[in-house]
Amino acid sequence: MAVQEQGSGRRNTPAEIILRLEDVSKRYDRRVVIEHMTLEIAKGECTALVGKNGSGKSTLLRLLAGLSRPTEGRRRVEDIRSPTIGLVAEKFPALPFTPGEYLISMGITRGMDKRTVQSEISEWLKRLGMDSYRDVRMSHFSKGMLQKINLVQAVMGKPRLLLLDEPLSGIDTPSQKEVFRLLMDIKGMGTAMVMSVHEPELINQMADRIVLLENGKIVKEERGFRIETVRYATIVFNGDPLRVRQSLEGIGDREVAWVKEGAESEIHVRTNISDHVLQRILNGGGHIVSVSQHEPSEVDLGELLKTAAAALKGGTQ
Amino acid sequence: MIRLASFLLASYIRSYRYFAPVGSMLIAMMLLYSYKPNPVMDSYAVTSAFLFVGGAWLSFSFLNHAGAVLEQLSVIHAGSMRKYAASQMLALLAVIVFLSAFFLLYPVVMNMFAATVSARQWLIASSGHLALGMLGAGVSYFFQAAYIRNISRATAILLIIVILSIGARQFAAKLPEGLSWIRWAFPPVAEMIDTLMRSDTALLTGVWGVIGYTYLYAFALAAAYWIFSAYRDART
Repeated sequence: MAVQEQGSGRRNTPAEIILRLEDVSKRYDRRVVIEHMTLEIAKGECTALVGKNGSGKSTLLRLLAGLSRPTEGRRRVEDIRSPTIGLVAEKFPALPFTPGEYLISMGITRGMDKRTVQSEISEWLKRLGMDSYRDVRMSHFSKGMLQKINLVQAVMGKPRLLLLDEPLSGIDTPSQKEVFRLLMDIKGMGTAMVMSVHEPELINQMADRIVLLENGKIVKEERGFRIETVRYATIVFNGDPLRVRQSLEGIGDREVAWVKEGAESEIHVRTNISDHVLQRILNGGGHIVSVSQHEPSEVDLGELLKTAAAALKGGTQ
Repeated sequence: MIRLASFLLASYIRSYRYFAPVGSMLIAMMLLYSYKPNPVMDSYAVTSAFLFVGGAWLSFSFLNHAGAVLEQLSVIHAGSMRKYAASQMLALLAVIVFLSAFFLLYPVVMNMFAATVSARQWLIASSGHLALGMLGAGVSYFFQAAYIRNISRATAILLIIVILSIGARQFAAKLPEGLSWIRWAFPPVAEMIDTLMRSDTALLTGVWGVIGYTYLYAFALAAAYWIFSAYRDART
Protein backbone atom coordinates (compact mmCIF):
# COMPACT_ATOMS: atom_id res chain seq x y z
CA MET A 1 0.00 0.00 0.00
CA ALA A 2 1.48 3.34 -0.98
CA VAL A 3 0.11 6.85 -1.06
CA GLN A 4 -0.11 8.84 -4.26
CA GLU A 5 -0.89 12.55 -4.26
CA GLN A 6 -3.73 13.83 -6.37
CA GLY A 7 -3.25 17.54 -6.95
CA SER A 8 -3.39 20.05 -4.12
CA GLY A 9 -6.45 18.71 -2.33
CA ARG A 10 -10.12 17.97 -2.78
CA ARG A 11 -11.41 20.86 -0.69
CA ASN A 12 -10.85 24.35 -2.02
CA THR A 13 -13.45 26.48 -0.21
CA PRO A 14 -13.08 27.39 3.48
CA ALA A 15 -14.87 24.65 5.42
CA GLU A 16 -17.38 25.16 8.19
CA ILE A 17 -15.78 23.69 11.30
CA ILE A 18 -18.21 21.74 13.44
CA LEU A 19 -15.87 20.27 16.05
CA ARG A 20 -12.41 21.19 17.19
CA LEU A 21 -9.83 19.61 19.48
CA GLU A 22 -7.40 22.21 20.74
CA ASP A 23 -4.01 21.05 22.01
CA VAL A 24 -5.66 18.03 23.59
CA SER A 25 -3.78 15.45 25.63
CA LYS A 26 -5.17 12.35 27.26
CA ARG A 27 -3.38 10.41 29.97
CA TYR A 28 -4.45 7.26 31.80
CA ASP A 29 -2.48 7.30 35.06
CA ARG A 30 0.99 8.10 33.73
CA ARG A 31 0.48 6.63 30.27
CA VAL A 32 0.11 9.28 27.59
CA VAL A 33 -2.36 8.09 24.94
CA ILE A 34 -2.95 11.37 23.07
CA GLU A 35 -0.35 14.12 23.17
CA HIS A 36 -0.98 17.79 22.34
CA MET A 37 -3.27 17.11 19.44
CA THR A 38 -5.13 19.75 17.47
CA LEU A 39 -7.72 18.60 14.99
CA GLU A 40 -10.61 20.27 13.21
CA ILE A 41 -13.60 18.45 11.81
CA ALA A 42 -15.28 20.22 8.92
CA LYS A 43 -18.89 19.90 7.83
CA GLY A 44 -19.37 17.09 5.33
CA GLU A 45 -15.71 16.06 5.35
CA CYS A 46 -14.61 12.47 5.78
CA THR A 47 -11.43 11.91 7.76
CA ALA A 48 -9.66 8.57 7.92
CA LEU A 49 -7.54 7.89 10.98
CA VAL A 50 -4.70 5.54 10.16
CA GLY A 51 -2.19 4.10 12.57
CA LYS A 52 -1.01 0.96 14.25
CA ASN A 53 -2.80 -0.61 17.22
CA GLY A 54 -2.16 1.58 20.26
CA SER A 55 -1.49 4.71 18.21
CA GLY A 56 -4.50 6.43 19.83
CA LYS A 57 -7.18 6.12 17.13
CA SER A 58 -9.95 4.81 19.40
CA THR A 59 -9.10 7.27 22.18
CA LEU A 60 -9.20 10.10 19.65
CA LEU A 61 -12.65 8.97 18.50
CA ARG A 62 -13.85 8.87 22.11
CA LEU A 63 -12.50 12.38 22.68
CA LEU A 64 -14.30 13.61 19.57
CA ALA A 65 -17.49 11.89 20.74
CA GLY A 66 -17.22 13.54 24.15
CA LEU A 67 -17.06 10.15 25.84
CA SER A 68 -13.61 10.92 27.22
CA ARG A 69 -12.55 14.19 28.75
CA PRO A 70 -9.20 15.63 27.72
CA THR A 71 -6.60 15.68 30.49
CA GLU A 72 -5.29 18.88 28.91
CA GLY A 73 -6.59 21.11 26.16
CA ARG A 74 -10.21 21.44 25.17
CA ARG A 75 -12.87 20.03 22.90
CA ARG A 76 -14.96 22.72 21.29
CA VAL A 77 -18.27 21.95 19.73
CA GLU A 78 -19.13 24.48 17.07
CA ASP A 79 -22.65 24.46 15.79
CA ILE A 80 -23.59 21.01 16.97
CA ARG A 81 -26.66 20.86 19.07
CA SER A 82 -26.45 17.74 21.11
CA PRO A 83 -27.12 14.95 20.32
CA THR A 84 -26.23 15.07 16.65
CA ILE A 85 -23.25 12.76 16.88
CA GLY A 86 -23.50 9.14 15.81
CA LEU A 87 -21.01 6.54 16.96
CA VAL A 88 -20.31 3.19 15.35
CA ALA A 89 -18.50 1.29 18.08
CA GLU A 90 -16.00 -1.37 17.08
CA LYS A 91 -17.95 -4.27 18.55
CA PHE A 92 -21.67 -3.92 18.95
CA PRO A 93 -22.93 -6.18 21.77
CA ALA A 94 -25.46 -8.96 21.17
CA LEU A 95 -28.12 -7.28 23.32
CA PRO A 96 -31.15 -9.15 24.67
CA PHE A 97 -33.42 -6.94 22.54
CA THR A 98 -34.80 -7.04 19.04
CA PRO A 99 -33.45 -4.38 16.62
CA GLY A 100 -36.92 -2.80 16.68
CA GLU A 101 -36.97 -2.50 20.49
CA TYR A 102 -33.43 -1.17 20.74
CA LEU A 103 -33.57 1.27 17.85
CA ILE A 104 -36.94 2.74 18.85
CA SER A 105 -35.69 3.26 22.42
CA MET A 106 -32.51 4.96 21.24
CA GLY A 107 -34.33 7.04 18.63
CA ILE A 108 -36.76 8.37 21.22
CA THR A 109 -33.84 8.95 23.60
CA ARG A 110 -32.28 11.07 20.83
CA GLY A 111 -35.42 13.19 20.86
CA MET A 112 -37.04 11.82 17.70
CA ASP A 113 -40.76 11.15 17.64
CA LYS A 114 -41.85 7.53 17.50
CA ARG A 115 -43.34 7.70 14.00
CA THR A 116 -40.16 9.20 12.50
CA VAL A 117 -38.02 6.64 14.28
CA GLN A 118 -40.15 3.78 13.00
CA SER A 119 -40.07 4.97 9.40
CA GLU A 120 -36.30 5.59 9.54
CA ILE A 121 -35.68 2.16 11.06
CA SER A 122 -37.81 0.46 8.42
CA GLU A 123 -35.98 2.29 5.67
CA TRP A 124 -32.48 1.48 6.93
CA LEU A 125 -33.26 -2.13 7.78
CA LYS A 126 -34.76 -2.63 4.33
CA ARG A 127 -31.69 -1.16 2.64
CA LEU A 128 -29.47 -3.53 4.61
CA GLY A 129 -31.67 -6.55 3.96
CA MET A 130 -32.46 -6.81 7.66
CA ASP A 131 -36.18 -5.96 7.66
CA SER A 132 -37.20 -9.56 8.32
CA TYR A 133 -35.02 -9.56 11.48
CA ARG A 134 -36.65 -6.49 13.01
CA ASP A 135 -38.40 -8.57 15.69
CA VAL A 136 -35.72 -11.20 16.27
CA ARG A 137 -33.57 -10.93 19.38
CA MET A 138 -30.06 -9.73 18.58
CA SER A 139 -28.51 -12.39 20.84
CA HIS A 140 -28.95 -14.73 17.84
CA PHE A 141 -27.25 -12.41 15.33
CA SER A 142 -23.95 -12.89 13.51
CA LYS A 143 -21.21 -10.25 13.70
CA GLY A 144 -22.18 -8.89 10.30
CA MET A 145 -25.82 -8.50 11.32
CA LEU A 146 -24.84 -6.80 14.57
CA GLN A 147 -22.59 -4.43 12.67
CA LYS A 148 -25.50 -3.42 10.44
CA ILE A 149 -27.63 -2.64 13.52
CA ASN A 150 -24.64 -0.77 14.90
CA LEU A 151 -24.65 1.41 11.80
CA VAL A 152 -28.40 1.99 11.87
CA GLN A 153 -28.33 3.14 15.51
CA ALA A 154 -25.54 5.56 14.63
CA VAL A 155 -27.22 7.14 11.60
CA MET A 156 -30.69 7.49 13.13
CA GLY A 157 -31.79 11.11 13.24
CA LYS A 158 -29.22 12.03 10.57
CA PRO A 159 -26.29 13.05 12.77
CA ARG A 160 -24.06 15.85 11.53
CA LEU A 161 -20.98 13.96 12.64
CA LEU A 162 -20.53 10.22 12.40
CA LEU A 163 -17.65 8.56 14.22
CA LEU A 164 -16.71 5.05 13.17
CA ASP A 165 -14.31 2.71 14.92
CA GLU A 166 -13.25 -0.02 12.48
CA PRO A 167 -16.65 -0.21 10.75
CA LEU A 168 -15.71 -3.20 8.59
CA SER A 169 -13.76 -5.11 11.22
CA GLY A 170 -14.66 -8.75 11.86
CA ILE A 171 -17.47 -9.02 9.32
CA ASP A 172 -17.69 -11.20 6.24
CA THR A 173 -17.09 -9.89 2.71
CA PRO A 174 -20.76 -9.65 1.60
CA SER A 175 -21.63 -7.74 4.78
CA GLN A 176 -18.57 -5.53 4.29
CA LYS A 177 -19.82 -4.63 0.83
CA GLU A 178 -23.29 -3.74 2.14
CA VAL A 179 -21.89 -1.66 4.99
CA PHE A 180 -19.51 0.01 2.57
CA ARG A 181 -22.40 0.93 0.25
CA LEU A 182 -24.34 2.34 3.18
CA LEU A 183 -21.37 4.44 4.30
CA MET A 184 -21.05 5.83 0.79
CA ASP A 185 -24.74 6.80 0.91
CA ILE A 186 -24.25 8.51 4.27
CA LYS A 187 -21.27 10.42 2.93
CA GLY A 188 -23.41 11.45 -0.01
CA MET A 189 -25.88 12.97 2.45
CA GLY A 190 -23.18 15.42 3.58
CA THR A 191 -22.52 13.90 6.99
CA ALA A 192 -19.08 14.65 8.42
CA MET A 193 -17.28 11.42 9.22
CA VAL A 194 -14.21 10.44 11.17
CA MET A 195 -13.29 6.80 10.90
CA SER A 196 -10.57 4.58 12.17
CA VAL A 197 -9.91 2.21 9.26
CA HIS A 198 -7.54 -0.33 7.82
CA GLU A 199 -9.16 -1.00 4.46
CA PRO A 200 -7.43 0.85 1.58
CA GLU A 201 -10.56 0.71 -0.58
CA LEU A 202 -12.65 2.39 2.11
CA ILE A 203 -10.03 5.10 2.56
CA ASN A 204 -9.69 5.71 -1.18
CA GLN A 205 -13.38 5.94 -1.91
CA MET A 206 -14.52 7.84 1.14
CA ALA A 207 -11.80 9.84 2.83
CA ASP A 208 -11.17 13.47 1.92
CA ARG A 209 -8.36 13.60 4.42
CA ILE A 210 -6.08 11.01 5.97
CA VAL A 211 -4.58 11.54 9.41
CA LEU A 212 -1.68 9.33 10.38
CA LEU A 213 -1.28 8.69 14.10
CA GLU A 214 1.79 7.39 15.85
CA ASN A 215 2.16 7.12 19.63
CA GLY A 216 -0.76 9.49 20.24
CA LYS A 217 0.47 12.18 17.89
CA ILE A 218 -0.56 13.29 14.42
CA VAL A 219 2.54 12.70 12.35
CA LYS A 220 0.97 13.53 9.01
CA GLU A 221 -2.26 15.02 7.71
CA GLU A 222 -2.93 14.84 4.02
CA ARG A 223 -5.68 15.81 1.59
CA GLY A 224 -5.85 14.65 -1.97
CA PHE A 225 -4.23 11.26 -1.96
CA ARG A 226 -4.79 7.75 -3.11
CA ILE A 227 -3.58 4.64 -1.37
CA GLU A 228 -2.38 2.23 -3.99
CA THR A 229 -3.63 -1.25 -3.24
CA VAL A 230 -0.84 -3.78 -3.52
CA ARG A 231 -1.44 -7.50 -3.81
CA TYR A 232 0.94 -9.77 -2.02
CA ALA A 233 2.03 -13.35 -2.57
CA THR A 234 3.40 -15.69 0.06
CA ILE A 235 6.32 -17.85 -1.08
CA VAL A 236 7.38 -20.79 1.05
CA PHE A 237 10.67 -22.44 0.13
CA ASN A 238 13.36 -24.84 1.38
CA GLY A 239 17.08 -24.25 1.22
CA ASP A 240 19.81 -22.18 2.82
CA PRO A 241 18.15 -18.85 3.71
CA LEU A 242 21.53 -17.08 3.75
CA ARG A 243 22.20 -18.01 0.13
CA VAL A 244 18.68 -17.00 -0.86
CA ARG A 245 19.07 -13.67 0.96
CA GLN A 246 22.23 -13.02 -1.01
CA SER A 247 20.42 -13.91 -4.18
CA LEU A 248 17.60 -11.46 -3.32
CA GLU A 249 19.99 -8.60 -2.67
CA GLY A 250 19.02 -5.44 -4.47
CA ILE A 251 15.26 -6.01 -4.01
CA GLY A 252 13.95 -3.40 -1.57
CA ASP A 253 12.37 -4.05 1.85
CA ARG A 254 9.07 -2.73 0.56
CA GLU A 255 8.94 -5.42 -2.09
CA VAL A 256 9.95 -8.41 0.00
CA ALA A 257 9.25 -9.07 3.68
CA TRP A 258 10.74 -12.08 5.48
CA VAL A 259 8.14 -13.75 7.63
CA LYS A 260 10.00 -16.92 8.65
CA GLU A 261 13.62 -17.98 8.21
CA GLY A 262 14.85 -21.55 8.64
CA ALA A 263 14.84 -24.94 6.96
CA GLU A 264 11.51 -23.85 5.52
CA SER A 265 11.39 -20.09 4.99
CA GLU A 266 8.49 -17.82 4.12
CA ILE A 267 8.43 -14.42 2.48
CA HIS A 268 5.74 -11.93 1.45
CA VAL A 269 6.36 -10.39 -1.92
CA ARG A 270 4.50 -7.92 -4.13
CA THR A 271 2.81 -9.92 -6.87
CA ASN A 272 4.12 -7.67 -9.64
CA ILE A 273 7.66 -8.91 -9.00
CA SER A 274 6.86 -12.42 -7.72
CA ASP A 275 8.10 -14.18 -10.91
CA HIS A 276 11.39 -12.33 -10.64
CA VAL A 277 11.72 -13.22 -6.94
CA LEU A 278 10.91 -16.90 -7.64
CA GLN A 279 13.72 -17.00 -10.20
CA ARG A 280 16.15 -15.45 -7.71
CA ILE A 281 15.17 -17.99 -5.01
CA LEU A 282 15.89 -20.83 -7.44
CA ASN A 283 19.17 -19.17 -8.38
CA GLY A 284 20.07 -19.09 -4.70
CA GLY A 285 19.59 -22.84 -4.39
CA GLY A 286 16.11 -22.68 -2.90
CA HIS A 287 13.29 -25.14 -3.65
CA ILE A 288 9.81 -23.66 -3.92
CA VAL A 289 7.25 -25.37 -1.60
CA SER A 290 4.24 -23.17 -2.31
CA VAL A 291 3.14 -19.84 -3.74
CA SER A 292 -0.16 -18.28 -2.75
CA GLN A 293 -1.73 -14.94 -3.54
CA HIS A 294 -3.95 -12.95 -1.24
CA GLU A 295 -5.98 -9.74 -1.16
CA PRO A 296 -4.57 -6.87 0.90
CA SER A 297 -7.19 -7.45 3.57
CA GLU A 298 -5.90 -10.96 4.12
CA VAL A 299 -2.29 -10.04 4.84
CA ASP A 300 -1.03 -8.74 8.13
CA LEU A 301 -2.73 -5.37 8.54
CA GLY A 302 0.03 -4.16 10.80
CA GLU A 303 2.52 -4.69 8.01
CA LEU A 304 0.27 -2.96 5.53
CA LEU A 305 -0.08 0.02 7.82
CA LYS A 306 3.66 0.17 8.33
CA THR A 307 4.05 0.39 4.58
CA ALA A 308 1.32 3.03 4.33
CA ALA A 309 2.89 5.03 7.14
CA ALA A 310 6.31 4.89 5.49
CA ALA A 311 4.83 5.94 2.18
CA LEU A 312 2.79 8.73 3.77
CA LYS A 313 5.78 10.06 5.71
CA GLY A 314 8.29 9.91 2.91
CA GLY A 315 6.35 9.66 -0.31
CA THR A 316 4.15 12.73 -0.22
CA GLN A 317 6.43 15.30 1.35
CA MET B 1 -34.66 10.38 29.75
CA ILE B 2 -37.74 8.36 30.73
CA ARG B 3 -37.31 6.22 27.62
CA LEU B 4 -33.64 5.59 28.37
CA ALA B 5 -34.49 4.79 31.99
CA SER B 6 -37.09 2.23 30.91
CA PHE B 7 -34.65 0.77 28.36
CA LEU B 8 -31.94 0.42 31.01
CA LEU B 9 -34.45 -1.17 33.35
CA ALA B 10 -35.53 -3.64 30.66
CA SER B 11 -31.90 -4.39 29.90
CA TYR B 12 -31.26 -5.07 33.60
CA ILE B 13 -34.32 -7.28 33.93
CA ARG B 14 -33.30 -9.29 30.86
CA SER B 15 -29.81 -9.75 32.29
CA TYR B 16 -31.39 -11.62 35.26
CA ARG B 17 -28.92 -9.95 37.62
CA TYR B 18 -31.75 -8.73 39.82
CA PHE B 19 -32.42 -12.30 40.92
CA ALA B 20 -29.93 -12.43 43.81
CA PRO B 21 -30.76 -9.08 45.50
CA VAL B 22 -34.52 -9.34 44.98
CA GLY B 23 -34.56 -13.02 45.95
CA SER B 24 -32.62 -12.30 49.13
CA MET B 25 -34.97 -9.48 50.10
CA LEU B 26 -38.01 -11.69 49.55
CA ILE B 27 -36.52 -14.58 51.55
CA ALA B 28 -35.68 -12.22 54.43
CA MET B 29 -39.21 -10.80 54.35
CA MET B 30 -40.79 -14.27 54.26
CA LEU B 31 -38.73 -15.28 57.31
CA LEU B 32 -39.80 -12.13 59.13
CA TYR B 33 -43.45 -12.88 58.45
CA SER B 34 -43.15 -16.60 59.03
CA TYR B 35 -45.39 -16.22 62.06
CA LYS B 36 -48.20 -13.87 63.03
CA PRO B 37 -49.36 -11.59 64.47
CA ASN B 38 -46.57 -9.03 64.10
CA PRO B 39 -46.20 -5.48 65.48
CA VAL B 40 -46.76 -2.95 62.69
CA MET B 41 -43.98 -0.39 62.96
CA ASP B 42 -41.34 -2.84 64.28
CA SER B 43 -41.94 -5.03 61.24
CA TYR B 44 -41.83 -2.06 58.88
CA ALA B 45 -38.58 -0.89 60.49
CA VAL B 46 -37.02 -4.28 59.76
CA THR B 47 -38.29 -4.44 56.16
CA SER B 48 -37.03 -0.91 55.52
CA ALA B 49 -33.60 -2.09 56.67
CA PHE B 50 -33.91 -4.99 54.21
CA LEU B 51 -34.71 -2.45 51.54
CA PHE B 52 -31.59 -0.44 52.40
CA VAL B 53 -29.31 -3.48 52.05
CA GLY B 54 -31.22 -4.87 49.06
CA GLY B 55 -31.34 -1.44 47.43
CA ALA B 56 -27.56 -1.09 47.72
CA TRP B 57 -27.03 -4.56 46.24
CA LEU B 58 -29.58 -4.00 43.50
CA SER B 59 -28.15 -0.61 42.60
CA PHE B 60 -24.62 -2.03 42.55
CA SER B 61 -25.60 -4.82 40.14
CA PHE B 62 -27.77 -2.46 38.05
CA LEU B 63 -25.03 0.14 37.60
CA ASN B 64 -22.55 -2.54 36.58
CA HIS B 65 -24.81 -4.60 34.33
CA ALA B 66 -24.40 -2.64 31.09
CA GLY B 67 -21.24 -3.28 29.10
CA ALA B 68 -18.88 -0.49 28.08
CA VAL B 69 -20.22 -0.22 24.51
CA LEU B 70 -23.86 -0.08 25.62
CA GLU B 71 -22.92 2.68 28.05
CA GLN B 72 -21.02 4.62 25.37
CA LEU B 73 -23.88 4.42 22.90
CA SER B 74 -26.48 5.31 25.53
CA VAL B 75 -24.46 8.41 26.47
CA ILE B 76 -24.21 9.41 22.81
CA HIS B 77 -27.96 8.97 22.27
CA ALA B 78 -28.86 10.74 25.52
CA GLY B 79 -26.57 13.61 24.57
CA SER B 80 -24.57 13.80 27.79
CA MET B 81 -23.20 11.74 30.63
CA ARG B 82 -25.42 13.64 33.06
CA LYS B 83 -28.58 12.69 31.22
CA TYR B 84 -27.39 9.09 31.24
CA ALA B 85 -26.71 9.26 35.00
CA ALA B 86 -30.13 10.81 35.60
CA SER B 87 -31.75 8.00 33.58
CA GLN B 88 -29.93 5.41 35.69
CA MET B 89 -31.19 7.02 38.89
CA LEU B 90 -34.71 7.27 37.53
CA ALA B 91 -34.68 3.55 36.69
CA LEU B 92 -33.44 2.73 40.19
CA LEU B 93 -36.09 4.96 41.74
CA ALA B 94 -38.79 3.05 39.86
CA VAL B 95 -37.50 -0.24 41.28
CA ILE B 96 -37.28 1.19 44.81
CA VAL B 97 -40.85 2.53 44.61
CA PHE B 98 -42.08 -0.87 43.43
CA LEU B 99 -40.23 -2.77 46.18
CA SER B 100 -41.35 -0.27 48.83
CA ALA B 101 -44.96 -0.78 47.78
CA PHE B 102 -44.47 -4.53 47.92
CA PHE B 103 -42.93 -4.45 51.41
CA LEU B 104 -45.70 -2.17 52.64
CA LEU B 105 -48.62 -4.04 51.11
CA TYR B 106 -47.57 -7.66 51.55
CA PRO B 107 -48.13 -7.88 55.33
CA VAL B 108 -51.43 -5.99 55.03
CA VAL B 109 -52.74 -8.15 52.20
CA MET B 110 -51.56 -11.33 53.92
CA ASN B 111 -53.05 -10.15 57.22
CA MET B 112 -49.76 -10.44 59.10
CA PHE B 113 -50.23 -7.58 61.56
CA ALA B 114 -51.68 -7.63 65.04
CA ALA B 115 -53.52 -4.34 64.43
CA THR B 116 -54.90 -2.27 61.60
CA VAL B 117 -52.35 0.10 60.07
CA SER B 118 -53.28 3.70 60.83
CA ALA B 119 -52.92 6.57 58.34
CA ARG B 120 -50.04 7.99 60.40
CA GLN B 121 -48.28 4.61 60.35
CA TRP B 122 -48.85 4.32 56.59
CA LEU B 123 -47.36 7.71 55.95
CA ILE B 124 -44.33 7.20 58.17
CA ALA B 125 -43.69 3.63 57.00
CA SER B 126 -43.97 4.47 53.29
CA SER B 127 -41.72 7.52 53.68
CA GLY B 128 -39.25 5.44 55.67
CA HIS B 129 -39.14 2.61 53.13
CA LEU B 130 -38.71 4.97 50.22
CA ALA B 131 -36.02 6.98 52.02
CA LEU B 132 -33.99 3.93 53.03
CA GLY B 133 -34.40 2.33 49.60
CA MET B 134 -33.14 5.48 47.92
CA LEU B 135 -30.33 5.73 50.44
CA GLY B 136 -29.32 2.12 49.75
CA ALA B 137 -29.30 2.77 46.01
CA GLY B 138 -27.37 5.98 46.60
CA VAL B 139 -24.48 4.47 48.53
CA SER B 140 -23.72 2.27 45.50
CA TYR B 141 -23.49 5.10 42.95
CA PHE B 142 -19.75 5.46 43.27
CA PHE B 143 -18.95 1.76 43.47
CA GLN B 144 -19.57 0.95 39.82
CA ALA B 145 -16.83 -0.10 37.42
CA ALA B 146 -16.69 3.43 35.98
CA TYR B 147 -15.30 4.67 39.30
CA ILE B 148 -13.62 1.59 40.79
CA ARG B 149 -12.35 -0.79 38.13
CA ASN B 150 -11.70 -3.62 40.57
CA ILE B 151 -15.19 -4.99 41.25
CA SER B 152 -14.04 -7.17 44.19
CA ARG B 153 -12.56 -4.14 45.90
CA ALA B 154 -15.69 -2.10 45.18
CA THR B 155 -17.86 -4.87 46.66
CA ALA B 156 -15.73 -5.03 49.82
CA ILE B 157 -15.80 -1.25 50.40
CA LEU B 158 -19.54 -1.08 49.74
CA LEU B 159 -20.15 -3.92 52.19
CA ILE B 160 -18.12 -2.13 54.87
CA ILE B 161 -20.14 1.06 54.34
CA VAL B 162 -23.43 -0.85 54.53
CA ILE B 163 -22.35 -2.58 57.77
CA LEU B 164 -21.07 0.67 59.29
CA SER B 165 -24.31 2.45 58.33
CA ILE B 166 -26.44 -0.15 60.08
CA GLY B 167 -24.19 -0.31 63.15
CA ALA B 168 -23.21 3.38 63.26
CA ARG B 169 -24.93 4.03 66.58
CA GLN B 170 -23.14 1.18 68.32
CA PHE B 171 -19.79 2.17 66.82
CA ALA B 172 -20.31 5.82 67.71
CA ALA B 173 -21.19 4.86 71.30
CA LYS B 174 -17.69 3.40 71.70
CA LEU B 175 -16.06 6.61 70.50
CA PRO B 176 -15.01 9.47 72.84
CA GLU B 177 -17.71 12.07 73.55
CA GLY B 178 -16.24 14.62 71.16
CA LEU B 179 -16.38 12.21 68.22
CA SER B 180 -19.97 11.03 68.61
CA TRP B 181 -21.03 13.33 65.71
CA ILE B 182 -19.34 10.83 63.38
CA ARG B 183 -22.48 8.68 63.34
CA TRP B 184 -24.24 11.48 61.42
CA ALA B 185 -21.59 11.28 58.73
CA PHE B 186 -22.66 7.75 57.90
CA PRO B 187 -25.91 7.11 56.03
CA PRO B 188 -28.55 7.48 58.80
CA VAL B 189 -29.81 3.89 58.60
CA ALA B 190 -29.57 3.08 62.30
CA GLU B 191 -31.36 6.35 63.21
CA MET B 192 -34.11 5.61 60.73
CA ILE B 193 -34.70 2.06 61.96
CA ASP B 194 -34.79 3.27 65.55
CA THR B 195 -37.15 6.11 64.64
CA LEU B 196 -39.55 3.84 62.79
CA MET B 197 -39.62 1.47 65.76
CA ARG B 198 -40.43 4.31 68.17
CA SER B 199 -42.66 6.25 65.80
CA ASP B 200 -45.92 5.29 67.55
CA THR B 201 -44.85 7.06 70.73
CA ALA B 202 -42.18 9.53 69.60
CA LEU B 203 -42.78 13.20 68.78
CA LEU B 204 -43.72 13.75 65.17
CA THR B 205 -41.10 16.48 64.75
CA GLY B 206 -38.35 14.05 65.74
CA VAL B 207 -39.71 11.33 63.43
CA TRP B 208 -40.00 13.64 60.41
CA GLY B 209 -36.66 15.19 61.25
CA VAL B 210 -34.92 11.84 60.85
CA ILE B 211 -36.94 10.96 57.74
CA GLY B 212 -36.12 14.37 56.26
CA TYR B 213 -32.44 13.97 57.07
CA THR B 214 -32.44 10.56 55.36
CA TYR B 215 -34.03 12.04 52.23
CA LEU B 216 -31.53 14.88 52.34
CA TYR B 217 -28.68 12.38 52.53
CA ALA B 218 -30.10 10.35 49.62
CA PHE B 219 -30.62 13.49 47.51
CA ALA B 220 -27.09 14.68 48.31
CA LEU B 221 -25.70 11.36 47.06
CA ALA B 222 -27.83 11.62 43.91
CA ALA B 223 -26.74 15.23 43.31
CA ALA B 224 -23.08 14.29 43.81
CA TYR B 225 -23.45 11.39 41.39
CA TRP B 226 -25.13 13.64 38.83
CA ILE B 227 -22.51 16.39 39.18
CA PHE B 228 -19.47 14.09 39.13
CA SER B 229 -20.77 12.04 36.21
CA ALA B 230 -19.94 14.96 33.90
CA TYR B 231 -16.29 14.66 34.94
CA ARG B 232 -15.84 10.99 34.24
CA ASP B 233 -15.08 9.12 31.04
CA ALA B 234 -17.45 6.56 29.61
CA ARG B 235 -16.27 3.03 30.31
CA THR B 236 -13.97 1.41 27.77
